[in-house]
Amino acid sequence: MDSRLLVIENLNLYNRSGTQLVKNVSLSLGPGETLGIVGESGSGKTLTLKSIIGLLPAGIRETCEHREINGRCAMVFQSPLTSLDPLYPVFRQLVDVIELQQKLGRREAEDAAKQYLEQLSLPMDLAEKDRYPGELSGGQCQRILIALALACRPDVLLCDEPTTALDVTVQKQVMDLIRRLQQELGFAMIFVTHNLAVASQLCSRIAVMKQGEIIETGRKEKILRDPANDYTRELVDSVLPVPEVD
Amino acid sequence: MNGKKMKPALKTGLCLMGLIVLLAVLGPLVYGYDPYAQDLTAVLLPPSGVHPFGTDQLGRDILARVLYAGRVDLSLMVLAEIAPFTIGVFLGMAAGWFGGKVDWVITLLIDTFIAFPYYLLVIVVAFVTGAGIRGIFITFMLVGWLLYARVAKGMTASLRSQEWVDAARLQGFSDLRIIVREILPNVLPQAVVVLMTDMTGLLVMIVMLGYLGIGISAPTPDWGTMIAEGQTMMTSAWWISVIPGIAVVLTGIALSFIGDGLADLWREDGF
Amino acid sequence: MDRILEIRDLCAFYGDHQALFDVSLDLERHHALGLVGESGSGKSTLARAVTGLLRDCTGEIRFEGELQSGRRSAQFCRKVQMVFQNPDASLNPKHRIGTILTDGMVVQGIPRKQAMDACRELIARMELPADTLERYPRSFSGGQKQRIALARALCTEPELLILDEPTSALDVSVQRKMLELINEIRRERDLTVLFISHDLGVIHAVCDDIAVLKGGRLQETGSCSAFFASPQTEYGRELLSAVPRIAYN
Repeated sequence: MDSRLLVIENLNLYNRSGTQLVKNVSLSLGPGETLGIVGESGSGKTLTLKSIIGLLPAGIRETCEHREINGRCAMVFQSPLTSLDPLYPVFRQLVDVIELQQKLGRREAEDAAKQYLEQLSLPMDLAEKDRYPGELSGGQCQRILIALALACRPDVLLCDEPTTALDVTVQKQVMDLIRRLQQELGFAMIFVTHNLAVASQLCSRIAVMKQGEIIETGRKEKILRDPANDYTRELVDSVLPVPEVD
Repeated sequence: MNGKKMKPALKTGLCLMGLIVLLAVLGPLVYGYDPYAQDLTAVLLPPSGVHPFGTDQLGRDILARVLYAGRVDLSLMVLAEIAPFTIGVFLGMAAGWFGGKVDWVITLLIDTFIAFPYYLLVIVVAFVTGAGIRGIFITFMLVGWLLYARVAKGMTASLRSQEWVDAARLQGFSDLRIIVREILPNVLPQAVVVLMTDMTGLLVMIVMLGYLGIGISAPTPDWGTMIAEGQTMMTSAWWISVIPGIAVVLTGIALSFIGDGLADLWREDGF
Repeated sequence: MDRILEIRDLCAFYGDHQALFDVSLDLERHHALGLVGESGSGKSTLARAVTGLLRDCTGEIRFEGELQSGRRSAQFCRKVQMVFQNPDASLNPKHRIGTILTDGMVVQGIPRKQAMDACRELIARMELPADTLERYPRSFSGGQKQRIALARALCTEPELLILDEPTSALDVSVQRKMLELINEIRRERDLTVLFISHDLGVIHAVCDDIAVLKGGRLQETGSCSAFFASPQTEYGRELLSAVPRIAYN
């Protein structure tokens, strides 16, 4: 295991009253790999992600046999509106992060921020006029969040249901964007979602979580076509079929 | 509630309040001394086996007077809250439910009464009606409902857009029925928490008026008048003022504990 | 053709904000019409206007040929029922399920005892635990709460059932079972269904007809089979192609 970006072995999480929330979760991610963690609410997928980046809520107890993170991590959250400072113009939030993370001067940071706007297909006038998160659409806010994460120059991008709160047409745009950026920038990604179809579009490997445990993990093709676990099969069957458009 | 474990605060509050009520109700019946009986041969006696809390300047037994005063003050406190509580909750729910003009009128009323300096109003009414219980009732009727109205209004306005309220409308229920059967059970817990806090305030007001001599008038014992009577003798006969003072403090603590405890309990239930 | 619901030139308003623009829509008896659109498209507003929860609207709404306006009659309330989106907000937390389910029937003049018996059958049909009627809403899961909400809607034996995103707050596996239940109930009771959803997969699983809303305006209507084969409008096509599908490779 030399070139692994991220190795987690036997992660366990408990809440205050001692209930086990995540049980013996092991993950490993190499450069450029994409892993989808799929599970229903309460399966522990978000907590696992928060443990990786070190943002566990207060009162959660953590044990981990082995943890190795060789690279920078950045995270994109589920709810775009509540993840941005509502009283601070979005462009300045982006510039601040670039200034801090990439150690640039104000002017260079602003130029870099404009490049991110362009790269994420955001309107360029965000840089000219002070616009606040509340004035942007959900999709635009989510793009800003992705830009903030990318500004950290991550080796691993952690995504926590970044498209769940969005309309389907916007969801598709954001998914296309993430896929494109991943190809361009080559970061590895862990994508947490309850939607197997979304995971299948973005990830090459899929881990299925249920009640705090990873019950099946493997290549996407294998998981989708020939699931070994009954629950995985149930999840696959739960994706409602929609005819393809020509 | 519903088999949930009670928090220590609530338990302590309920036990303490239970004890106080029990003492106020049964105490005067069981305890041998008459609160009005003067005994000029036994004035200003310190606490002893015969008079556990001592006697006052007229030789009246302090324990008997504190117990009896508790009965007077507590019953007044409860009785004076009934009308403001009921009126406040219903006006508040009406404002929150109907909105528009109804809300405008009720909010105007609330704002008008809130603009009056509370204690000044109390004193003015007490002077107009003369000292005594009537003044307390009237004043509190005027201002006591504001708090409940505001709480009930806020809660009703937020509950109004809940889907179960829409569902109730679609069942064909009348507005009155929805307010009473659906909204009220959700507003009541919050209002009761406020009631506990407010009763403490009311008790302090009753005691204060007694102390100022415009509340419950002598010779009826009341914690406030008792404190006032003993004030000049604080250094020589501290027990006359301190004992009723402790009674006020304990009752206030008990009510606060109950209020906090109930709020915690109901918050855990998700309200 | 027996139209249970006819909507003509419906405009709806929230204060100064207009949420629906001249929507005209028909609903055939015993059909299931899927109303699809993204957030803010006005699909829930349409349901609220039909049921009379939203009164600030212009245009015509006819139910079984009768023009509806203002407060709905008791008859209308019996015949049209609705299930809401949010399982946590659709049941009064202070009432037992038994009370929640029977209140509507009692208002219709059915004795409480008889209503309780009817509810027991309904609860069994919804595959809910036998002690459901004695419990409070908070002890149920999201999926169970939605079944209870469905049971409440069915209590008055309605003709038209409006379902406003009844499964979108549920986990996918729970959603699947709920949709199956809805399909079964619909056939058993010969219901007419107006199904509101942002999810074309859900519409595809339940509905015969479809209407697409965008920004408060009706984009296209037609049978589901025609729509899913080939949407008539650009927006319909965009919506359909945006649905995430399983990518096996």
